[in-house]
Amino acid sequence: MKTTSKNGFRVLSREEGEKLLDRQARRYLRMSGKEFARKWKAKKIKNPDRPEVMRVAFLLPFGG
Amino acid sequence: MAGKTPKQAVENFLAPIRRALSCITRSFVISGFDPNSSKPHVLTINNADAVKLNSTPTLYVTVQMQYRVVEAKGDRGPWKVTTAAYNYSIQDRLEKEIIAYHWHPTVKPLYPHLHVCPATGVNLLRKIHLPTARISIEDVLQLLVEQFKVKPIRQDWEKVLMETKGVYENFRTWS
Repeated sequence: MKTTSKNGFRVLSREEGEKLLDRQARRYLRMSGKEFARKWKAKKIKNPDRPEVMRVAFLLPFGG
Repeated sequence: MAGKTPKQAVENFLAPIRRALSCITRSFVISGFDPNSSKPHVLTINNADAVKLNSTPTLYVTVQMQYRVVEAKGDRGPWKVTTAAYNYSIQDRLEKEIIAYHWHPTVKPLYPHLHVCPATGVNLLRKIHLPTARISIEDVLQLLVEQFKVKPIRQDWEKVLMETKGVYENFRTWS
């Protein structure tokens, strides 16, 4: 369920979070969110501290 | 930030961040708080896209944090939010990163650091992690306004950043 707060922030549902992760993984790393999550957990992402990787990795709790 | 419930602690954590960000953007802060999950929670803005800033030349900023909700005693409890990681990056008009402040204690290097990215034209530092202190979102916003000449969208930005950073410093558990 999507929640909008009067304080100017929104809490995303799990489905919304997964979509956001997927969109950003495809944009920055040309792979799906699920593929990125799988490779990340298996430590198969080379140079994981690269900025383009980190900006997707930060979103993993949304759906990884 | 403290709260009587995990949800309240999260709201008390997010509200000053949203207020600080209102100095440069009207983007919503979004989060993935799930009270039934023990994983870190995400905080980002603008649907995790970089935010175009009011500046010449054009600049973008990305704000991402992870945080945890933990039990705490005294004034800091019974629930509090603690920052678990951050990624603040400033990008050029092509959204190529200029600099990025990172702290991600589960991925090496474990210390807070600064990336000076190739968009600066300094390729020598491309793979170097320059150690820094822990950086607050207010530090980055102040940097954007004072050094990168981003035009704030509220006149009281200095007062707001001072107040929200004060809240953050009162509740942080590191020095």
